[in-house]
Order: sequence, then structure tokens, then C-alpha cells
Amino acid sequence: MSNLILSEWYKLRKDRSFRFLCAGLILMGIAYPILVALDSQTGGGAPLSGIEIFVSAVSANEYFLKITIGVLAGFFISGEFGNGVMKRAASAGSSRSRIYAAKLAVFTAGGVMMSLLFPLCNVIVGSLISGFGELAEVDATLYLFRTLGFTILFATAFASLCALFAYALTDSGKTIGSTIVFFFFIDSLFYIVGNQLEFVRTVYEYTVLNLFRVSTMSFVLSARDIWLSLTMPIATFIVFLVWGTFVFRNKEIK
Amino acid sequence: MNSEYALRTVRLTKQYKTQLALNQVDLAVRQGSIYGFIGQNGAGKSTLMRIATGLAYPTSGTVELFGQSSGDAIVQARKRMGTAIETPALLPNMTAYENMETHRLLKGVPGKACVRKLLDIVGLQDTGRKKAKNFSMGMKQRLSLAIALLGDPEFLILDEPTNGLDPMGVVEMRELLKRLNRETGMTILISSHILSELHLLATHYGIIHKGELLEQLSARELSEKCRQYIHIKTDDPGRAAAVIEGELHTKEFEVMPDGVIRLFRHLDEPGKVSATLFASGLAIEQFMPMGEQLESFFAARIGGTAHE
Repeated sequence: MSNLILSEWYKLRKDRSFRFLCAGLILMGIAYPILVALDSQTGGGAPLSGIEIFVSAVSANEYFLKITIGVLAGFFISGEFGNGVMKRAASAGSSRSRIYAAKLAVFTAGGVMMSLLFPLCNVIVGSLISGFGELAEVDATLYLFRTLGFTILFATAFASLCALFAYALTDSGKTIGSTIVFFFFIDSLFYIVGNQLEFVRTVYEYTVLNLFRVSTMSFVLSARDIWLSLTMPIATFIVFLVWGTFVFRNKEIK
Repeated sequence: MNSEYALRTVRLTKQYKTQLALNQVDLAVRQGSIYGFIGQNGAGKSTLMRIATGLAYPTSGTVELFGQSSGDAIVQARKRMGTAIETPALLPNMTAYENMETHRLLKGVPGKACVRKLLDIVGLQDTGRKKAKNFSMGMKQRLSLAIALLGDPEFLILDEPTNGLDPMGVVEMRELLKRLNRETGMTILISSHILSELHLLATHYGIIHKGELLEQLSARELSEKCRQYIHIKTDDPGRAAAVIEGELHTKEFEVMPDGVIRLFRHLDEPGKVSATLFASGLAIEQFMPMGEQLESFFAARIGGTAHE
């Protein structure tokens, strides 16, 4: 298993799409606070502090996270079906379950790293420009670490979901397109159907799609919200790990 | 558990929706042999190799690798294999060294020295920062072979490894595979469309056609079947036989019931043979090199072009 993880980690470090996505997120994470500072300077308003910039960019990070993980799944996982590298891994004397687990572990690590780059750059650069600041509703430091913690957890869940897409579709373009379409429309779909069917609305409230917003965009969380936000991403990860392993074990690699 | 066979299939069958890719195939690759797998496109060669390497699953029948056929044991047995199936499987944005390193880590081969050594063996030691996507097909094939050789496998499965290689590359690959087989006893299962190339390499052959294994035979058996000879017909077969034995110092000939002599020696000296017979006063009625080439034998076996 360690061999598989070492090999996957080596590939991730050398993966051009991963490097490109990381560089893009860092650049945007640095540019955003600078642009906000310049805007407030020209507008004459008070500059936003590091934590305020962080708060204002949380919703943007949700989209960045989903898109970048989907793109990475396309290149890092599905791409290997296209160039045949998956064949070598599958014929090298490791079980499909281990191969899947190792790939998912490293892919998830990459997804988590990407999910933190934009908000971390926001808060660091914002703090350098106008100080860390405070929040009226909640302790700023607590909110920062809580939000980053939940971001890690939910990135893990989204990574397991994207990995399933990647293994099922085995084509970079299809994986990227499908994950983006899925993430952009699934909330609306749940909303529309949920308005007709109470059951669907209840299901949606328990999904990571909804809970990610609840946990990262609310200043105050109830005990129930915290419990759900801790358990549902883990449960989602396990479900998609098992599902993905099943898909990969039964798949013929072309 | 060990076995005299590196790979053995028993009634192996693979059915795709409407197509029977393999039909009750009983193939046996003896350890230490070089098994040339012959078949047309779509005959089932790659399907069998893909099942042996765990990329596809059989519809029925069993596959044994080093005597192991059950779940985890066969997966473990695959650690003793090196494979290059169909197109070279490379990470396009990595260099030759990085591609090798990825697979070295995957196989858990200790030390990085083997990477340089194998790149040197396949002639890719000077590719530097050049990415695999910019390699020629021949370079990709060489790199694919180097990757397959990582970890000193006991059994090598190569699907059309000479595709895209230049003539020198073909010779070098053949010599390398022969050397590995000779020096380390490595078993090799190799498919190729270039039958003459296989003929110079393989110790055993399997002919597959439309999913059915038509024949398995050793190189010696094939040579017997494809034996080259000089077809000689004279006015006195008895005296001609005596002249061949006495003057040409060989007993490697046959006198057929119709008086035709099949001479299996001096194939590259037809002038000397005819001159000797002529000098002995024999009237030569027919004199021609005969015998079956591997291609015509194969074609005849699969029901294509008739025997020459």
C-alpha cells in the first residue's frame, strides 16, 4: 500500500494540472485582497481586514473548490485511463481495492491542499495589508480555524465524489464536464424538486452540498449543525470510497 | 506453490456482448520459454494478455500464473510479472526518468540505480528533460520495455513490442530479450505481427484465430513443419542419393516414393549441388528450393492462403 501511495504522491507532485491549479488559486488568493484594498482606497471606505476578506471570499471558495477538484479528477485520475498508465498499476500485483484507496488518498490530499490555498492566501495577504481584524458575531480566530477545518472535511467528501465520476467515466473531458455540470446544477435541482417533495428537501439538508454552506458561511452553528457537519462528510467519503471501489473492481481497463 | 508453467489457461472464454473473443482456450507458457503468440488483428491475443494481467475478467475458465489461480494469490503472482500491453503506457508530461521512477515506486523496487541502468539498456539514457509526449513511437516502445523490466520480473508479457521500432531497434530488442531469457531464465510471452521476427526469437508458438487456439508447438516442431529443402528430380534417384551421400557428405535427405529427393543440407549452395549431380552424369529434371515459410504455414493454419 505504501508503494502505491508513494507512487501516486510522486505523480501528483509532477502533475501539470495540479501545479497549474495551485498556482492559479494562489494568484487569485493574493490578487483578491489587493483588489479589495485598492477598491476601498478609491471608494474612500474603510479597508477590509484579513478576516473580513476571508469571510467575503468563503462562498467563492466553494465554487473554486468544486471546480478545481473536478478538473484534477479529470486529469489525475481519468487521464490515466486515457494514457494507459492505469493498466500498469492494475497489472503490477496490487488489488484493485488498494489501488483505488491509494489513488483516492493522494487525490484527496491534493484536493484538500487546493481547497485551502485561496482562503489562506486571502487571510494572510489581507492581514498584511490591513491587519487580521475582528468579527462582531464570533471570535475571529475560532471562526477561521473552524471554517478551514470544515473546508478540509468537505473537500474530502467532494474528492471522493469526483473520484467516483473519474473512475466511472474514464475520460478526462467527460469527468471535468460532468463534475462541473453536476456541482452547478445539483443544488438547483434539489431546490426545484424539494419544493414539490418534502422528502427530497429533507434529504438535501443532510447532504454535503447543503452542509458545506451551512458550516462555512454561518457565524454561529448549533450543536446539531456541528454534529452533522462533522459526520456527513466522513459518511459521504466512506460511501463513495466503497462505491468507487466496487466500480473499479468490476471495471475492465482498456 | 510453484509450477512448471508461468502462465496456463484452462478453457478460457471471454464473451463480449455479441462477440466471442476467446473460446475455450487452453494455453500453456512453460517457464523459461519465449512464447510467440501469433494471430491476426482481433484474433484474441490482446484479450488473453489483458485477462492474464488482470485488466479484464474471463467469462468462464481459469487463468493460472505460476500455479496460482485464486483471488489474492494470482494478484500476488502478478508482482513477478512485467507487462507492456497494447500502446505504450506512459505519463506524457514526464521525462523517461520520471516515468521510470513512478513505476519503480509503484513496484517498490529499492534504489534508484536500476532506473539509470535500464534506461541505458534500452538506449534512452540521453533523453534528459525531453517529455515522453515528444518521443517517437520507437522511443516510447523502448521506455515501455524498460518499465516492464523494472524489478527483474520472472515473466514478461509484451504485446506487439516492436511496433514503431526502426530495423536496428527491432534487432536490439530481439537480442535484449534473448539475452534476458538466456541469462536470467526470464519467461517471455510476446505477440507480434512480424512473423519472421518471432521466428528468430521464440522457442514456442501459439496460433490463435477468431478466439480459438488452433495450435501450440515448439520451435523445433515448427522447423520440422516449415523445413526448407532442395527439391531434386533426376533420371536415377538411387544413384543421385549415392552421389549426394558420397560427394556432398550428408545423409540429411529423403527419397520420396515418386523418386523426388528432398535435400535438407547445402540450402545456400544450390550451384554446388547441381554441379555435383551433373558431373556424375545425372540428368536433372527438376531442381528448386522448396519448403514452407512461417507466414504461409500460419496462413494455411488459419485457413487463409493455401500452402505454397
